[in-house]
Order: sequence, then C-alpha cells, then structure tokens
Amino acid sequence: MTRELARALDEEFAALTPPSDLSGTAIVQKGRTARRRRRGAFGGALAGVAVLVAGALLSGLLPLGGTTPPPPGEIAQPDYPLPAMDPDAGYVWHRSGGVDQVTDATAAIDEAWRAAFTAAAAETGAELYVNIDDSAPTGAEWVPFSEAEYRRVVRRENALFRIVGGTTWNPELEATGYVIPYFWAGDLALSRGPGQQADRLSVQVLPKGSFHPGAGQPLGAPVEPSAPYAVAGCEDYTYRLEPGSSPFEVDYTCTDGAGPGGERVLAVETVIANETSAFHRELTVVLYRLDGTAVVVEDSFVSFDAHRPGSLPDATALDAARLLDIALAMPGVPVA
Amino acid sequence: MTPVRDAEFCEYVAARGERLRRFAYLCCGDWHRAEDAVQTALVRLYRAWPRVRPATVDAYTRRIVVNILISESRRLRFQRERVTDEPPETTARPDATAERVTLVAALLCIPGRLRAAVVLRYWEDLSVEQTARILGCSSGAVKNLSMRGLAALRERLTDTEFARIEGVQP
Repeated sequence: MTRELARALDEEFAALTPPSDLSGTAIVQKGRTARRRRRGAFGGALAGVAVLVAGALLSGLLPLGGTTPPPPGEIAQPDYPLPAMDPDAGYVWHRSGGVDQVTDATAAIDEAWRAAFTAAAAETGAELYVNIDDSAPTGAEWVPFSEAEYRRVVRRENALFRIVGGTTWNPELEATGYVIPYFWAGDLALSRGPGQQADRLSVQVLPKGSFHPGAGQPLGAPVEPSAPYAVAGCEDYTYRLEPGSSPFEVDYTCTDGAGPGGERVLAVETVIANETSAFHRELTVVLYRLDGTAVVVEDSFVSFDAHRPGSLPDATALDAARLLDIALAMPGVPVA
Repeated sequence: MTPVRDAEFCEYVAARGERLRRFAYLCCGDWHRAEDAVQTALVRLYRAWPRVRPATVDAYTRRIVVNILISESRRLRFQRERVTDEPPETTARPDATAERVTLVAALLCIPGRLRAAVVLRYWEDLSVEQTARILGCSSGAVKNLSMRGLAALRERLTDTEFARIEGVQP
C-alpha cells in the first residue's frame, strides 16, 4: 500500500501545486544579508559561533578528542508520562520535596561531572569556584574551589504548576499534582581571574517522559522555558521589567544536531541586551538520550567580586561541542 | 561562501525546493505558510551550508521546516489564537459534495502528528529512526503514529480511493 500511497500523492501534487517564488539566488542573497546583519549587531562573534556550532554539530566532529565514553545503553528508565495539559495555558516548574538527596545514581553522575569540569578548567586555564550560599543578597557567594565546599550532584523534585492568572513575575498557580525527580548540580564556576569573565556551569538530568523535546518559548519577562521544555527559545522577543521601562531584547540562536548514537542534540545560545549593550550570554546544550532521559548542560556568564569583564565577551568559556562532550559523558543511570 | 558553494546550494534548492514545499504543505495545509517556512529554512540552511553533509542535508532541512512550523504555531497560540503545538489538524476539509475525495485533502484532515508520521514514513520514505529524529520521539511512538495515521486515512477515503493507494481494483 505505502508505495502506491507515495505515487498517488505525487500524482495529485503534480496537478494541484501552485507556482512558487522559491529561487536559490534569492535565498543566497537573503542568507548573505542575514549573516551581515547578525555580524553587524554582534561584532561578528555571534554569527561565527552560530556557524561553528552548526558546523560542529552537523559535520559529525563531535564528540571532541575521542575521550568520551559511549552513550548510555538502553537501560530501562522509569517513565514519568506528562499529564494532560491545556495548550492555551502556561506551565512552570517549582521545587518540591525539600531536601537535596545524594543517591547511588547521583554519585555516578557526580563522578563524571567532576571529571568533566576539572578537565574543562584545565583546558581553559580557568580557576574553579563554588557557590556556598544561595541566599546571599546577590543570589550566590562564590569562593575558590575546595573539597569541603564543593556541592555534589543531588536528586531534587520538581512539581508542575499551571498558570491561572497574575503576572509573569508573580503568577497565580494551580498545582497539577505532577511531580518528577531530577538530578542537578550548578554551584560551580570557571574564572580566568579578576577583570575576566566567569562562567557558571550546570548539569541537569531529566527523567523519561517528563519533558517536551525542543525549546519552549518563555512566557514572559523571566527568561525561563515554558514547562515542560528543557530549554528556552527559539523566537527572539522583547520584555520590560515594568510597563514603560526600557526594553530588553532576548536573541536566540538555536541549532539542531545529532549525537554519535543518533540522539537529538539542541544547542541554544541566548544573548540579552538592553538599549546600550548586550549584558548576558548563556549557552545550553540538551542531549535527548535514546533511553528517554535528557541531559542539559549550561554555561552561563556570572559576575562576582572582581570577576567582571569590562564588556560582554563574545563567547562562553565552553562552546557547544564541549558542552555536548560533557553531556555525553554523563552515565546512564535510572533517573527516579 | 565561495561561488562554487553558492552554486551547489542553488542546485540543491532547484532540485529539492519543490519537494520541501510540498512537505511543508502537508504539515500545515497552507501553501503560503509552506512557502514561507521553506524559504526561512533554506536561508538557515545556507548559513550552515559549508559544514552540511550531503547525506544528512535533506533530513536537516526537513527538521528546520518542522521546527519553524511548530514555532509559528506556538507564536500564534501566544497571540490567543486557538492553535496547537502541532500542525493544524483540519486546515482543509474535503468538500463533502465533491465526487472524489483527494488523498491530499484526506491527509490534511487527520491529526497533525499522525499526518507527519505518515508523510515522513510513506511519502518521504524515511526509516522509523529517521522519522523519530525529526519528530523528536521514540521509534515505538513513530510506529504507533504511522499505524494510527494510516487507519485514520483509511476512514476518510472511499473504497475506490483506498483501492487506488493499495494498488488493487475495488
């Protein structure tokens, strides 16, 4: 049947396809214009990164260096199927369950995570810092890395809430009753010293069934993906902290690729700018593993003490290929 | 890019543009949206062209098209229009008074994800794994979607039309 289906469709299309304006020359012209525009806006860096990211992902050069272990096998992952969701409603995650837990599974992830960030620090010539206080006025207190202060990969729980009113900053929420476990570590930074950029690194492993593939457009001012997507993007947008205030532009560069085992890989670079300059950049790579789980690795600019560059650097310390390398290194353990 | 690369890209557009436009139309049911999506996808492809491998270029481009159409649907949703994350289910219903229900019209009546699976598997002739990659789901889900898609298509065709795609006389 199916061969005849294709032939029958082709026959019908031959009769009903309207004329097209598609032209290779016109598209080449548009492509050149788009490239020039992006280079003009971001000093050439962003377009360069986008092309390099796309190139690296598409050309099968990844993972780098041949040091990455094989991707996790097809282990039986506990399934957390999403509840029925209203397509017209917004959803957000909030932490639940209180205490961070260290389990055998998180210990296995932690071992790979330590190896990964230690290698990344060595490669980039950066010093490692750890955040020791989430409740600090600046949202974090960074100190030089030490075993005593290091915060390991932990198991946490997230609950899914539906937005039923309020504002994007202060939404009214309704619990859906859907709760998932996930593994997370993010209190780590690479710094090249005073006056230089620092990059916060994080890793997250999401359980099977608990996310939509692809990027979720943020619901408003906070640049967070709409749940249950693992990463925000990919339509550029503008937000204001309050009506009448200066706008902030959020620029996404999303690139799809494939891992060595055929896994889907999504890389999203986010740059936030106000009227005068770009002031934040982050790069997120999501590896959608064949066992149904997802690994999210992020490099996000952070400033603390004297670790502040005069202007926003052109790229994160680790590029998409390197972040994918880290994601691939995370072992396949049950996420439950 | 070099003139040689540009020429290669133009050759690709000439060879595959029409097929991509039909693919986009089957996903969204609107020729204008289909053409816009393909044009945007090809501009993005052009930017990545020097690094694209010939063996994967079609799959890569189809994926961009699908992502663009999904993003567009999502954007419309935020504008309070009633659309879904997936291509619309019923963008073009077959005319009940028409003597013959076309296959394309019948396809456009089945839910978007089922339709995409049928189109990718049986019109684009992709493997289960390739289809899963484009749709962002598991191989098992693709098999399930394809089976349900064909069943849904069967329900919307007359015996004569169904026999035509089966390759046998009714």
